[in-house]
Amino acid sequence: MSARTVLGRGVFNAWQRGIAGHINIQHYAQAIDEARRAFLIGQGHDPHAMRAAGRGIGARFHRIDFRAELSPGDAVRLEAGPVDGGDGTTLLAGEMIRVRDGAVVDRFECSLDQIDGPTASFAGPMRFDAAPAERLRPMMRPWVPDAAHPAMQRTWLGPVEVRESDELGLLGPRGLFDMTTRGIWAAQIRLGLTLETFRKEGFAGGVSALMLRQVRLARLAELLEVRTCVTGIGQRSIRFGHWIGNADWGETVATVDYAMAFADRATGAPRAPSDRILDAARAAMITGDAA
Amino acid sequence: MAGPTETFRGVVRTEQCDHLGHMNVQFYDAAMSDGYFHILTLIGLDWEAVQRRRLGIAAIRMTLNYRRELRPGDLYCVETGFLRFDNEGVDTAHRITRLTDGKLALTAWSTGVPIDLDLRRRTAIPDDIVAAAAPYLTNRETMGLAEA
Repeated sequence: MSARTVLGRGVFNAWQRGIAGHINIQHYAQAIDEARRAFLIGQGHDPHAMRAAGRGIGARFHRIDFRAELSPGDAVRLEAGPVDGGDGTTLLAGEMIRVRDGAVVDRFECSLDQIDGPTASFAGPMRFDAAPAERLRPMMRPWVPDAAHPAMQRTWLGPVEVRESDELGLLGPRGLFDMTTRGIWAAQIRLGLTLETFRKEGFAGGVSALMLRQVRLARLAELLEVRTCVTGIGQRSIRFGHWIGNADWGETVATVDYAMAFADRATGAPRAPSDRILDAARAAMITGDAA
Repeated sequence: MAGPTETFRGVVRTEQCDHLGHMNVQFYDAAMSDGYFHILTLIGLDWEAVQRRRLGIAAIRMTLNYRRELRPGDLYCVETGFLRFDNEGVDTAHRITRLTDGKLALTAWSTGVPIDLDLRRRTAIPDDIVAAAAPYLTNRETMGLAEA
């Protein structure tokens, strides 16, 4: 097990909630990004010197398992440390812990990659001494959707904004996960999983696991789009795949594989959505030969 | 007396910086607000307790002393303690340290009063909360506020 240290402390606030009422995924991603930066500063990397040299840090790979929800006002801490990625790379792995009861809110892994600002490209992984450690279970059937497949629906379109960019003018993780979240909602709504449906049918849905692979960095003002399809249907969950890329020339920025789990609103117990929703999901599911 | 404790640790983000190239003042306040909710959690006034007891502590005054700037990418932490905590109200002290070089970036203190969240009127802080706050009592000298 790697030596973990506290790399972040904070509070989530009411304005950070998503449509469903709990804290939006983009803010978890932001907290993990800050933990990654804190780790590297602890390793002696001076952020000002890096910026002056046109260098930055990012993560080509994000994996998050969600375990518990946060409410507005909840305080958390992030504990993380380096682990051996198994392929010669080092990952930062850790947990977000809810202070009021010690519950694990999420477990995460992310890579540690150098960024070359002028070329907006990843410039290789950063390596640190790290002991082998138990990894999060890989998501089943990691899959890169083909953006041109007819089953892929556009679920978001827009430019990279200033507020989403880092000090090198490149799209940061919060912005990337914000686009991801909007795409998630758009895909859900198309299946009939609206807030009204959740209320009327007495169940709720939430992302339970997510894996994002970033291929390249997007620049400020670049026009991006998200395309989404259903990739699998479980007893109480639906799997989705996102393609995020340039809307003009189709170059991939990232792919996201995520699972949405459903639960009874009153008891919190896992519960299948209605047949109507499942039928819609089956109709939207991409066929195996496209994977 | 245990004194102050770390209540926030984060990195200055580009979107928090103004055209002067450093973190805008509104985000110092945001970090201390988060730190304040954090220490309230540690003394039993967490989200669930606030909903159940209908008790909040609202700030009525705040004094900030900026010492050094925070720039994009800087790692910093907030340490928080109580200068006074009784049934009538709370004086809270914050100290922000720039962890990139270990230097003090800001000291601040504020006064808060308890409010009934249903009546939206001033109330009293229960004794159990006052007792839970005792380990975090500190003084102005410790928090760098003696000269402020």
